[in-house]
Parts: sequence; C-alpha cells; structure tokens
Amino acid sequence: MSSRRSRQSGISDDQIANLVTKLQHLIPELRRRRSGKVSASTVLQETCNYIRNLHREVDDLSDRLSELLASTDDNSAEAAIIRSLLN
Amino acid sequence: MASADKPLNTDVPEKDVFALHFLQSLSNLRRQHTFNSPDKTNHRVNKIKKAAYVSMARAAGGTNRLWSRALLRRAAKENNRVVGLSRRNKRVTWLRRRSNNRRDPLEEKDAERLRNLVPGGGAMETSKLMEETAHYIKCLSMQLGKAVFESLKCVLGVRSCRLFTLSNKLKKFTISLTANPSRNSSLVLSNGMKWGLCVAVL
Repeated sequence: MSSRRSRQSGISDDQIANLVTKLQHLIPELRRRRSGKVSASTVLQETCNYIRNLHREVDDLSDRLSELLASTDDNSAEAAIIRSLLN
Repeated sequence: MASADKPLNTDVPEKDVFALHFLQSLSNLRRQHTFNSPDKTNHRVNKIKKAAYVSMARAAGGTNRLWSRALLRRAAKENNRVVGLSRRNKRVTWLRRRSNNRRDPLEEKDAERLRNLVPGGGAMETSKLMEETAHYIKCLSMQLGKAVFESLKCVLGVRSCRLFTLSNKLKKFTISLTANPSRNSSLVLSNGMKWGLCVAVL
C-alpha cells in the first residue's frame, strides 16, 4: 500500500495543469479568454456550468422530440416515411 | 495506476456512430406499444432522454470509460436488469482518492461539484476525473451539437420538397449525416410546416 501511495502521489502539477488546459480548450466560454491567466478554479467552475447547460439542452431537445414523435402518428403518409427510416 | 507518462486519450468516435446508436434506440422505442399514445408525455420524454444518454454511452465506448460504465450501470439498475460489469472495489478507490487529493482546498470544492455532474465521478480521483470530464464533454457536444439533434434542427428548415426526394435525402442522411446548411431551428407546428417537420423526425 505504501509503495502504491508513493507512486501515485507522483502525479505532478504539470499533469494537472495539462489537464486543466485541455478542459479549457473544450469549453467555448473559456476559449475566447485564452489569456493564459485563467485559474484552475475558474476552469472547473466553467466546466460545471457548461455540463449543466448541456444537460438542460438534452432535456429540452428530448421534450421536442417527444412532441414530434407524438404528433406524427396521425398522418399516415408521414408515418410511412418515418417508418422507412427508423427500420 | 495513472502514471505521469501515459498520454491522455480523449478521442471520441465519429458523429455517425452517435447518430446511429441513437436512431436505433429511437426505432426500438417506437416499436413499443405504450410509446405512441398521446398521453403519458412525461413518461415518453423520460424514455427518450434515457435512450439518448444510453446510446451516447454505448457510442462513446461502452464499458471502456468510467463515466459511460457508470451511466450504463445506472440505467440498468433503473430497469432492474443485472448487468455483468466488472466492479472495481469502491472502497479501495475511495481510499486511494483520499490519499491523493492533497490539493489546495479551492480546487477540491470545485472538483466535488464536478463529481456530482459527471456520471461515476464519485469514485474517481482528481486527475482521472478531469480526463473523464473532457471525454464526457466531447461526447455530449457531439451528441447534441453535431450528431442527431442539430441535424434534426437543420432539417426542420426544409420547406418544400417532394416526398420522393425528401425520403431519399433522409435515407442518405441516415448514412452520411451531412448537415443541411439552412439552419432554421424554430419549432413552429403550422400545417404547412408540419409536413416537413414530421419528416424531420428521421
């Protein structure tokens, strides 16, 4: 256990900084502020906000999809097209 | 385990993979009898949402990534299905995490919030968490932005096409998934649009 611990606490700050930079590139909000002065804490906060936004978008679009799927089952011509695509 | 020398791998598969999985799960959903009833909207919405997440997890690598594994396990538990996933000993990972997270307390508070958002984050240590977050964000934006939903929004802008060309176009779309340049994303259910809309359901 002690050997495992000493090996793992060798995760350097460089690697952490590397990961933080990678995350920064992925978040559109922070890509604009590429000043190099963005702190790790900001990156993590913006990541949380971004993930929450994405979740909200998934919810919103699921609502729309469900509406669409419900409304199309009345008309047979459209249903035929949909069936041909989804099968 | 996570040595400093191993290069980080946050590649995600092509958007076609995501779309294919999602379309398959949608078509499976439609085959269920209870799905198409006009009432029970919440039930249907939840099923679509779950299908979206599960298909994303499968497209992103199934059980190869921690977050997708946790997502699939959570979904299977909701269905009361037994999933044969190799379980890492949770207590061991928790202890390992405690012993390694001697970062400054500011970072840990944010990391905790992140852990609550990313599926499976509770058992990861900080560096692994960030790697998984990067992959998760890429997959989510792939699923939402480029793969199915955005293309759905694009095809919603299709106004007057003949039935034949439309169905061909959408068949090609299912295979190649090229985004339509017209980007009208408003969901107006007028009668004229309804025809184009319904075809957009793909």
